[in-house]
Amino acid sequence: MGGKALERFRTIGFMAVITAVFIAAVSGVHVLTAEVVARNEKLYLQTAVLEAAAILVPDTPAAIAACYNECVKPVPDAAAPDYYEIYKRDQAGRAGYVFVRDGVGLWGAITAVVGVDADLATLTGASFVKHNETPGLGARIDEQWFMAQLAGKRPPLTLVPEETADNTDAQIDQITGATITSRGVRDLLNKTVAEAAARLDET
Amino acid sequence: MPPPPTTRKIFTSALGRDNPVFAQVLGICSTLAVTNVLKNTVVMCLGVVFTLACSNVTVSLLRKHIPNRIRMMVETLIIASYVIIVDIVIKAFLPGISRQLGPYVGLIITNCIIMGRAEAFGLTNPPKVAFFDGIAAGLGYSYVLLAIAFVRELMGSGTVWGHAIPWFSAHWQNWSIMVMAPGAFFTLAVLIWIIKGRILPPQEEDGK
Repeated sequence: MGGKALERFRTIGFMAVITAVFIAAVSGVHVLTAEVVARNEKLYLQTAVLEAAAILVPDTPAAIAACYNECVKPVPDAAAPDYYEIYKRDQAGRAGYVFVRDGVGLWGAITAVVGVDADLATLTGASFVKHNETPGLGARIDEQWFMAQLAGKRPPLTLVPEETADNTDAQIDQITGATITSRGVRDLLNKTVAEAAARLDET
Repeated sequence: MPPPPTTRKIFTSALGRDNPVFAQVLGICSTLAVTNVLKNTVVMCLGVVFTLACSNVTVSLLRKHIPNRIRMMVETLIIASYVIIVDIVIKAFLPGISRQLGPYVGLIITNCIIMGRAEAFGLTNPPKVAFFDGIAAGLGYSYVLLAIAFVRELMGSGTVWGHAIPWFSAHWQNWSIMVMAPGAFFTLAVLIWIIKGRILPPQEEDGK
């Protein structure tokens, strides 16, 4: 009986000790890299906001942060921004707005960073910072050509088959094999611009 | 207890007849999930090789102390720890790739090859051989995945490593299905057929 209890005690003790050791190791790595990870995240979002506002993004992280601080003003504040006001050096007053909004994709939410011109009708750019779309299909919304075609368009947008969009205001190429993702992106952009116009037009 | 197998034997068996993917058909979840573009596959393979080697060595070092009844709990804990470390390191130093791989790095934890090697090899062999066994199983897994990824990216997206191939990409109509999970099944099945049916010599009868 004593032997059995001892054995049980040893088993539980072993598990407890080894769990503590490995948790300590994982936590250690996490703490060591937490700052780098947070910096990566921040830089990534800042880059996305600048790109959406059609501002040329500098090469180094320090220059990106400086450029961001100069041109972007989070509203109401940086801690919980609702949207971002954009100011450009060569332009008096507000140059535009950037919104970070969620839409519906095939596998889950798509988070887009959407730039709208000061006229509250024209897109200056958009990128998709978080999504779970299929690599090679829906995930092609991250490809350069897809994002580049959005600049200058005036929602409400309509989708046309890939590589057939003309230069008019409303047509965008959808992605072949990713109909639901394409529709999700279209709806997200249309809704964001409509909401922006409704909310900010008087101010 | 039989003596541990030689390094040479470990490698030839993991790369050849006992290959974890095409012979044992293990780790299929990640074979389907991460092989549609080469770049992601390479990162995934590096993660798996690292985790396999580390977890195999750790299990081997602890093999005389792990109580038999809880050995699988301990193995899972060890594997999960290494995988989370890999995930954190990729997030910190390769943020772009981390974003693309999404949840798949975390899913290395459930890769049956790693648990399989820890159970079948790490628990009963000294650390040095266990290390080579982990590396060998990882390489056996990797080259099959890379071959599948090459075929899928080429046929599904018309590119290799994200680059268009001069003449080919202009004339090739992309097969969307190769990018989706079924494409991986087809490619894997054809690969298994070619390797087992054509390349490997026919297996001798057991029970000799």
